[in-house]
Amino acid sequence: MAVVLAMAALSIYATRLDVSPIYLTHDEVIYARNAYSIATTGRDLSGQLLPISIPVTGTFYATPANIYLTAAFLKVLPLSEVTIRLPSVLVGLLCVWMVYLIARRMLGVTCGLLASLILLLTPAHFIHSRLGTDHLYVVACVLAWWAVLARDGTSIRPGRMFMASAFLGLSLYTYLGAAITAPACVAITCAWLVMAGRRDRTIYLAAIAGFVVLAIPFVAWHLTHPGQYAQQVRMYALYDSQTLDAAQGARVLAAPASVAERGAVYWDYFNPSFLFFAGDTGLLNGTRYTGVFLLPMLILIPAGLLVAMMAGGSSRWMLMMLLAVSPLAAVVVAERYRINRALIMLPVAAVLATVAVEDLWRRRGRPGRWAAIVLIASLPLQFGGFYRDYFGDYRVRSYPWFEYNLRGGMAEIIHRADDGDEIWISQSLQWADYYWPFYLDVFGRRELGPRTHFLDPARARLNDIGAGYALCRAGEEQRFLDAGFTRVTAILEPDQAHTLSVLRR
Amino acid sequence: MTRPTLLAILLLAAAVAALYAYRLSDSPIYLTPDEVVIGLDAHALATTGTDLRGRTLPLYFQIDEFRVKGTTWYQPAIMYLTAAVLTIAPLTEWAIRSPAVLIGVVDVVLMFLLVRRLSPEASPAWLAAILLALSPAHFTHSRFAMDYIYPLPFILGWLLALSVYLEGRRPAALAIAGLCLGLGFYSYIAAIVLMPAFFALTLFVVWRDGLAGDWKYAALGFAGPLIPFAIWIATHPSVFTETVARYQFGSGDRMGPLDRFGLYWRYFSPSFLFFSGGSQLVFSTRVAGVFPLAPLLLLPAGVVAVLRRPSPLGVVATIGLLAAPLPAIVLDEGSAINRALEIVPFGIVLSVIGFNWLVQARPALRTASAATLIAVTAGQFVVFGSDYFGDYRRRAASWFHFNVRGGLAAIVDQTGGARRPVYLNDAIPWVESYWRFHLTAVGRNDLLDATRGFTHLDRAVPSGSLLLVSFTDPAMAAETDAAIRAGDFHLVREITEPDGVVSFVVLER
Repeated sequence: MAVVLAMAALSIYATRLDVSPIYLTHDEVIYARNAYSIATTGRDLSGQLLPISIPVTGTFYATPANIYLTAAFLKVLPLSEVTIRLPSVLVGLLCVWMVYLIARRMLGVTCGLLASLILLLTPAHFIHSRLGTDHLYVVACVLAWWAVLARDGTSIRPGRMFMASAFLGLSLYTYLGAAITAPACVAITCAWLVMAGRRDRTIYLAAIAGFVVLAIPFVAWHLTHPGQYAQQVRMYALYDSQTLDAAQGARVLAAPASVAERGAVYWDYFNPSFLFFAGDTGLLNGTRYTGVFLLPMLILIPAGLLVAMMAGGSSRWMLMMLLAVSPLAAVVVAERYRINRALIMLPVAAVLATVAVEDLWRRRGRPGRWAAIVLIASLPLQFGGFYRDYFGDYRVRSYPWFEYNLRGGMAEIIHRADDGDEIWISQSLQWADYYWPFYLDVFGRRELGPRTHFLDPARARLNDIGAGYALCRAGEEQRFLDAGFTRVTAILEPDQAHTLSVLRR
Repeated sequence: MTRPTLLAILLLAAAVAALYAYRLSDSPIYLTPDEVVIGLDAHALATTGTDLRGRTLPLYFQIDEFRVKGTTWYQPAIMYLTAAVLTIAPLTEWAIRSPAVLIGVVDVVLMFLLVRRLSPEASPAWLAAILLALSPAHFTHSRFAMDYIYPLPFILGWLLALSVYLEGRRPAALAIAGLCLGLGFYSYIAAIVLMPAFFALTLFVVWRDGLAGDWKYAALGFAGPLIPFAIWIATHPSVFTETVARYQFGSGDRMGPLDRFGLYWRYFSPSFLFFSGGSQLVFSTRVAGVFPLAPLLLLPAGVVAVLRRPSPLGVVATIGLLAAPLPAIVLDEGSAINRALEIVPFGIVLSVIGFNWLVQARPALRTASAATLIAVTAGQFVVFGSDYFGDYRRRAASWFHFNVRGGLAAIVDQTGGARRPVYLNDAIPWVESYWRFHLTAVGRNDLLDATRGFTHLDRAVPSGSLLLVSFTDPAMAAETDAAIRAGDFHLVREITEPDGVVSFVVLER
């Protein structure tokens, strides 16, 4: 039975990974290039041997977890869109399994299956399980922590507590936002123990030590790379890190206006419009045709919250505290409606919804049972509509968000270029300097790399450049045509829009 | 009610009146266009018994000054109350704003009386009254000659009468509750939706308590005051379409339902309620929330208390709180507390319910806890008040269209009592209304016929003409400087704002 369910889940999540999302995002390309380098040479693109933190763009460093997991896949599978997205599928399904464990412990086997089904059919979870980025990895670590606590309960022994907290320390290497979320979860752990009446000091020490031990390399690395913190502050525009030090910056963040603004952002992460109707503001993380959750959750989540509040108990309080801290990473950077920064909310909501269903089924008589049936049965129905749109019109709506059909243009050149051809790529194609070497590796044409040049068609003397191929935006094509290039092919999008051109001289 | 309690209530009312009336003429810094228009119509009513259009004691007041699509109809409550004041007071900022102060004081007293009925001790009642009095939104809106605050005494009266009915089952109390809602129907435009909704809520509460047969008393009280409205709407069939046009309902540019849902949600944002207040600097200083900080803890506690043990008043307050922003989301004005001020009394009632719930395990601490919260709230209000009477005036000057009053007063001064041609820059919003108000206030309506508007400075205007020019318009400022340098006009006076910026200039040809 478990195998059947796992295969069914895999078939839903892993199908057509190269079709939707329509193209790779630049984050996927950047992580994949580093993963491929590590898989083939043991070093990242900057030459570091098995690094803890990996430089990606400029002086910005990425967390390593998804890069290393992707590298593991690339050890046995060829470099492709499917391969670099498979690790996220694995992590997504792992989350589904851990939600099953947590809900089973809290409410029984049937509820465990229900909670896992709800998470499986959550649009935001589905979407992020198919992106080769790192946002979902922190969720897996937090669920692992939660699963240990759910299994052992408040009588947990220090050794197991250490292990649970170690997962939180591990999460620091999965996603930048974990630097906010993980300490919050450590605090929740301590509060949970206090509410349970635990007085033995060792358990609290274990709760903190597990996190701290795994965090030591993370902290040590930041101490040896002091500029990285300032870079991250600048990237997220938290404050002016060039004129303010960390203490001054903290004061800016704690100022009343900042607190008020971030409070508003926090509240907006529970906005029903965002959660149940429109979803993420960007088409990278949502389709805009469904919310983060499906519509039945509009009833199930508040109902589950109400039941949890009324019932009390340490496990219910844990649930509410986790829900409360789930958007914290997004709040710190004051970004509204970016579910990729608050994905922890998804499994928590799945468990809350299950709490609601359990209450309806057991305590509300026949009307409650019918309500539970209708609500649960509605989930796959609406998910089906979302699924169809995801593989259909969503691809057409979203291609600008995925940097247009760079793959098509680059593949065209890669397949046509001979050994002597130079290749010219317009600098206006954002991230093309990352996509190009990626697709060279995909198609095994690395030798074209040294003969590739990036130029600004508006400033370059196109008449003076040599023979070869060019890739540019459709709007820049005329400049090349005027310089004696001829169009080889127009690169079209799914709606037949001509966005890029491949030209040859 | 004992004599000491009555005395205490009178002292409370006096203290609130003194606080709310302090510097009423210049805080808010200037009159808004709405205040000017209301002042003019109320003055006409007070002096002639008719509105500015010659209608005798109208039910609703037709306003065309804003030149928006269609006609605007203003509610009668503020007009008649302001007119009552203007029968004994001259037309001044203080006079037209004083009715709002009175409304605010009545709110605080009613809140005290309401909560006094809910608790055996007086401390929760004092806490509720002080929280309401020192709520930044309530304080701010008790100083405007606008009707946003007018529904509140009717809502509090309704809650008080309803609580009397629920305790003693007296039909007269239920009728009075309905009457409060019926009269409140004329307080503010959103009341047209809210008061019937609260009436339906009354019927629900009555039914829930097994007293469904008493519904007719509530209906009688509610329906009676609505008879004039029914007659009036039958004789003014275009009002509905005019109101729709004014608020641009049905326009293709309006918000979609999802945006409205999102907007509704933001009315309950802790940032909005406890830290930053409304989005418009006219109605909020933006450095204080709608409520003081104490309800940040007490209000959620009140909601939890109602969920755990739903008392009738708790249920009413919760539903009232949830319903309060609904009329506001019709408009695309962000978090506009002025349009959802009904949140305040329901929020305070729930906060006190939360307070009682939190201290129920330690009743001995009730008085001390209330006193502490009052002290903290008072301290917070001192900070808020310092800003409100200080830097807020400077920050908000542009939102109040700058010191038009100063410019117009300078023009009148310069006439020296004589009738001289006056030219008012069309770039100054609502300048005609401000001019009419000022002339009425100083008794110089003789200058009205001599007044013209202008868009660009014209050397052809008669010698001796006085001009008021907007200096905040860069193009106008440049034109003015050039005209002065060329000797076409003489600079009479610069009108400055609190931060020293010149907003208007008075010129003489």
